[in-house]
Amino acid sequence: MLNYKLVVTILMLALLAGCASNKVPDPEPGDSTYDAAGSGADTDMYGDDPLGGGAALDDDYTAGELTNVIYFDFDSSEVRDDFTDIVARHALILANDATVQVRLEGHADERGSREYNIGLGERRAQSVRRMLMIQGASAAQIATVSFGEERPVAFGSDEDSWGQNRRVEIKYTN
Amino acid sequence: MRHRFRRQLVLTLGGIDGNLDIHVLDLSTRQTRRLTTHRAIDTEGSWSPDGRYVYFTSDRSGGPQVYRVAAAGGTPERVTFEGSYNARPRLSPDGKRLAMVHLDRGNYRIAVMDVKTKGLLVVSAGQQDESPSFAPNSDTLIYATRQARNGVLETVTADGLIRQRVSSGQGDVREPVWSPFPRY
Repeated sequence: MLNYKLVVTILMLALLAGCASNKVPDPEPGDSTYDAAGSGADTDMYGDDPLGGGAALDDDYTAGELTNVIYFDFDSSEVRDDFTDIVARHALILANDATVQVRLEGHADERGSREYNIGLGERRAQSVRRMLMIQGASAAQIATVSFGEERPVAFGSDEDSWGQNRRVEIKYTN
Repeated sequence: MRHRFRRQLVLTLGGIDGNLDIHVLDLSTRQTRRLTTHRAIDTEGSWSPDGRYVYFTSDRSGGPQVYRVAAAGGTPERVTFEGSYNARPRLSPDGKRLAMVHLDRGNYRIAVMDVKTKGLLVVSAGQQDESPSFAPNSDTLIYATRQARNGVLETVTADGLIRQRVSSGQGDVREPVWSPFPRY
């Protein structure tokens, strides 16, 4: 039943577990203890605002060179307002040509635990993916992958470097 | 007490939407059993020594905390409550202690929780310490820390009193795992 895309083959040494039942897990109740409370960590909620707050496109949003990197705030996987135009332009490219494909590569900064950061990078990539699809790209055109904290572009341990590393890179694959 | 041990892997799988959940893969039947269904990040699964539980990191509360779920399936329960960031849990071989990465006043450090009393003790002193692993005696841990830009290893007693750098010569060292009990 490996119909799940193997995002991470996290390892965990296998070993033996007792108990041979195959009980289906109960659906989890929504945890009501949503205590978001400013963890100092590079964590975030779910990016429930894929349209980036509904900011209007600039008149000249198709002008100028199109960057392929979307940066994220500390503690967030929401696409910032200053990047919604850029994502919209990529969406337009995808919507206009169904043969174009992209890979969204999500990244996190170095802080916190390594495997968890893979989850954060994935969530950022998904946030961009949703935004592209809302604007006309199709699921078949978009692949996502997370590199967690493993592929930084800046190597300092300071806010400037961390900010450069919290990103999604939009890579055209054909 | 005899357990029926089976060869199983706990793993993190992403669904089509990339949402990470904890699964158990039975190596003999090749069947996977999904243990979490939340849309939060659920990852870093780790067995309890008796194989009955899978401990994992989830940010379903808004930030990462440690949870556990019965390996056979069930409702996950939250294990850590102290602080805003607790991740990558590892149980001691005797099952009495839980080590994790804990955010301590801006620093990511190793903390050890007494499973019974829930008391949490920060045992490392770096800024970006990670990947704790217990020695077979359950009283000592090894973990990765930073020296200048390089990863190095340190050991510390579970009471936090005795800490030692493990000399590693050179290179970037990370993710240590102590070997398990010998089989009797």
